[in-house]
Amino acid sequence: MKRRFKQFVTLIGMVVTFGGILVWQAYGADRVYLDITDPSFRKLPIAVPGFRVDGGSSGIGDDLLSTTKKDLQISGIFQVLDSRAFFSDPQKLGVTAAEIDFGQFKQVGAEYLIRGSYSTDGQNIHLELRFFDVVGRKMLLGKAYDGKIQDRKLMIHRFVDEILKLITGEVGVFSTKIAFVNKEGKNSRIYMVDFDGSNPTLLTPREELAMSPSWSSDGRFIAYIGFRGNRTALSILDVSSRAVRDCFLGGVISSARFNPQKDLIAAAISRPDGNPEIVGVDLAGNVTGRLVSGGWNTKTSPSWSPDGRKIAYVSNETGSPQIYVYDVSTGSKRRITFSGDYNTSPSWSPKGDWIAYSGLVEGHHHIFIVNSETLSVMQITNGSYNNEAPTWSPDGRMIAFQSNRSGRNAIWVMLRNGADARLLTEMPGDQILPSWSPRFQ
Amino acid sequence: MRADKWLVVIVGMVFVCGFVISCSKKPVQGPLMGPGFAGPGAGYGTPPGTETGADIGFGVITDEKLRALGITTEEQKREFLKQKEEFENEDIHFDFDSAVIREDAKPILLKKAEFLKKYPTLTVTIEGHCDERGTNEYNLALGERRAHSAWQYLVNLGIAPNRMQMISYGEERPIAAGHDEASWAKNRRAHFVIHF
Repeated sequence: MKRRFKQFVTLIGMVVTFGGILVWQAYGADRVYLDITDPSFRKLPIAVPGFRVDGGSSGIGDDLLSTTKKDLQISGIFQVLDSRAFFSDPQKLGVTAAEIDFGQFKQVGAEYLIRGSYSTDGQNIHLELRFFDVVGRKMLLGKAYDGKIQDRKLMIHRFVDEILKLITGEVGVFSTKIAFVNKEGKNSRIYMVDFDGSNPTLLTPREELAMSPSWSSDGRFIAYIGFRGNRTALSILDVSSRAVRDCFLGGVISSARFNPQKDLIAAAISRPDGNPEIVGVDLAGNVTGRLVSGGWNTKTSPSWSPDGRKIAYVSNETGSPQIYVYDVSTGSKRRITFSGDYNTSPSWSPKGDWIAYSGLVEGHHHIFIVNSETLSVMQITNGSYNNEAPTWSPDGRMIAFQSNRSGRNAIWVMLRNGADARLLTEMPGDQILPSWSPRFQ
Repeated sequence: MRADKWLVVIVGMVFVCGFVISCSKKPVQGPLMGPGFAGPGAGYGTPPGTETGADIGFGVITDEKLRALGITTEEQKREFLKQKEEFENEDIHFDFDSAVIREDAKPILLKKAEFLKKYPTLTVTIEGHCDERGTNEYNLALGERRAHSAWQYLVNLGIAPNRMQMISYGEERPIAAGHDEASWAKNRRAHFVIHF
């Protein structure tokens, strides 16, 4: 452990005074990050004792603690130790490296420790979070947050994001959101939730039937299919104002996806006088050009490569739905799924290396990932229920998908290797067609 | 008096024709609401130059509308309503993951074509539907192909393309709720709705 720790980071704790708020920043040199995708990766045991109250109301301490633990668990990197193992009273337990008895935490198997303390004043909270290396007996990251009590979860999400950056070299996705369709009664409307399933928010209260939400690269817009009487619109929702623009493209629209680089939408459309095709549409609703065309067969579910140069999509040109990759710049086309006769819902990973999709196996849809170059395939869900419509977290470590494993359709999140599946949406109705937002700036 | 009556009929027909033409106009492309976005919920209303499709001219059948279809007697009215009901109640069905018009669908489509020819001012929406076994988004595309197959078949039988609007509901609007082949078979359908 000591050796690995030395490899991973050399840190100098610094105390910086910033606008009256103490901010501790850790700087590293010659940092070697943990490869958490390595199959031999072992989760890091971490202790999270109760938060210390330094003044004001103590009523939110449990929520702060459970939010922190949930974030750490969801990260897939940490194994959160049972807090019954720490016998000390959190009020008496120190919060700085000088005060903490690291031996006590080492004894229960902890390699890392988070100490939190807070005080409240009316609607405001002052929250201090410190992340320690138990073995090295030092602080790796310390932050103080001042704000409204109602934003406390956001503060913790940001802190855990930074812990992940420290350990993996990449900011976590704890401040992202997941949009999806909720089918309840006669209505199918678009909602979003935080990455941990909290704060479900109805985005399209006036829709009766909306399908296929897709976030724009900056998180400002969600494109979706809006049903307007006997026609479909490519609808563009401004997430902050909730304004909607409907773009009628003169045909039936079956899916839409934002380009990850710019404000351009790939929309699958079929007009009466033509064949199904995938076209580019700008934010004003103008068709900028054909992206994929040719043949009577269906073409749908376009998913852009991260550089925006290629599109993975579904076509049934061989008689069954299969996934193809079309290179927009060269015009070349390549089939990438060869086993099974029902492969749909491609989703290109943000790193570009994998394309997730759902394939029908013995009567049930399951999530697969296929390497976009070598075409090697891995099935990452199993069981006698359906798993469909995968979408990647912005760091490429997790996949959200719809599954009926709980008896109804709901959105679930798992690690890329299929481990640690957790229910994201605990709300009435059926939740389908998730889309994971980018990180918000 | 007699001349007056004819005038009403002619004016009514012109009105209905104009209405049908405006309905079948190609939807306007490009920006619909100018630069920027309108307020919350904007865009749900009537886009300029396009139809809403919601309950236009649907609902209570007025005598003017019937006369515009050439229906003047109670007997003709009864016959029309019976055929209309049959037209809307009789779906055509498809095999799993297929948009090919089956043999059993052909006589039904032929009957629909005859009805549309008999009442040439009627317009129709063809809805494509799927069973629940496919994936939701792919089913939207498949449902469109089913609606399109029916559309193409009716065009080949001589129905003007601009009288027929298409839409797909994928697996989102099933008529049979079961999770068995009998229900799935009912849900793999094209459904026809009359507008006049």
